[in-house]
Amino acid sequence: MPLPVPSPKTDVPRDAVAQEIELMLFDDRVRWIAVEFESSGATGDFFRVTPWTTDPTGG
Amino acid sequence: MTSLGRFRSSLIAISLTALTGCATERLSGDQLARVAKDWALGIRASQIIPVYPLTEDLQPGDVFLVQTPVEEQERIYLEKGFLPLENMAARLHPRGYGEFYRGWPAIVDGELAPPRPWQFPTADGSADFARAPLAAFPTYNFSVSRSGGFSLALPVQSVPVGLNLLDTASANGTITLKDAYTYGLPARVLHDVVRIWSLGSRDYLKQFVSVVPAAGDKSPRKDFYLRVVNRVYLVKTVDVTLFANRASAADASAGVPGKVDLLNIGNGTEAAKRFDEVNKVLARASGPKADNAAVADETAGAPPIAAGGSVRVAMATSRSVSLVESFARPLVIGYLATDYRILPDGELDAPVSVLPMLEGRQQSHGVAVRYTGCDADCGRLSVWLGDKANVKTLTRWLEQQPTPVAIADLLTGDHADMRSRAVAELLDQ
Repeated sequence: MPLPVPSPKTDVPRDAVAQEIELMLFDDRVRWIAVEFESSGATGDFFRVTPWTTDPTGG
Repeated sequence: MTSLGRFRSSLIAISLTALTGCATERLSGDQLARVAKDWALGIRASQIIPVYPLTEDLQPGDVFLVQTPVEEQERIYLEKGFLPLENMAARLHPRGYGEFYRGWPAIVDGELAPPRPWQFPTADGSADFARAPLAAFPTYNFSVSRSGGFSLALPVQSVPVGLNLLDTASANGTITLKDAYTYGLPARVLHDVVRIWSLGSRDYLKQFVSVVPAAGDKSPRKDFYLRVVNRVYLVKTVDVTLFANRASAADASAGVPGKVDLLNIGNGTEAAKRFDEVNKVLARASGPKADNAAVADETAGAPPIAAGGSVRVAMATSRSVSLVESFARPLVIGYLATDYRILPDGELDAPVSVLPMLEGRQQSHGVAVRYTGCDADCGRLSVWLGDKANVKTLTRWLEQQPTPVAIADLLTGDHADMRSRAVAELLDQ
């Protein structure tokens, strides 16, 4: 049974975004990844990282 | 019948036969494409995927091979309004109707699974969908214009017939899909059947490996999918009503009564006879079966309502005409389905619902989870995954777990126990 596609991740610190993208791209079904600013706190900025298997822009 | 009556009958026959025929012949390739798209746009509004041309031969369990990239499918769907169902790979015969429709009269599995008991319930082969699950569609409004082509054209005969009966240059109208039915199976039931079929069809499916563009090639990756139909929608009767915007110049032709005038119920008892005459002509134009019905009805004196596919006039006034078109048996006008991407070894990927994908309503996968950081085990696995062979090893290991998760979720999600087991079994052994 194929593995599920990676889940979207919330509260990803700025310095962990690159690693999270790299991990998501281990799955070759993931073709787009959205990085969305979530919040800014005392410890820095946090992002939501969302993998997509189809073009989320619909284009 | 008086000589004037015979003259009028002949006139109607000649006019309608010619007009029903040439309405199609006049359509150019672009117009035909437009016909397909406009019909499909109406059906799509009901949240189902249109079928064009309409067919009776589509049912849950039908498997189609789709060779078009997802983005290309979206483009085609938006441009043409429908997706051609061209490469049928298999027709599966899933069981589960009896359970899914528990308590529903006469729905069973096997040879008499839907739609057979409704299609051919009696010895004479006449269809009876009275016990099939009902569906209903909204009424669609449209306008037609001879000068600008049909701004909404439909794969039914009624629109060109009505337009010509009205003898008008433009008209507005409504179309009602009546006697609509639906049946299907849960995608979960079909999932098991598709899996079993795919296991026995590995050699066939292996041919359809993804085509990955070379470095620098910006064309999209070409994946192959199996599209599995899980629900269909059928329609038996189409009502079309046209309202003339303005009369054409033909109304003023010397010595020739306007066609609408012939049908005008304001003309008293003559109107009923003219209705009969028009319907006889339409029945003859509908095919041999209809023709026989028409001949039989001539002797009986009743208006012909053909047993086969037919168009008949239901109502007409000086500025409007209503037609009823019935198909010989209900035809599938739309469906719902799930897609399975074919993986390199002939295995199938997780199912994806087709309609949201085609409409650009793609969903990311799974519920969002909170990033838990990269602990020591995550760090070790990250370094180890630098070797591409280890990615495959970890993937195989995860696939064997009772609750498999994606690599990204394993490393930075709430799966500390599984992470430590992965390290122990794969790195520390």
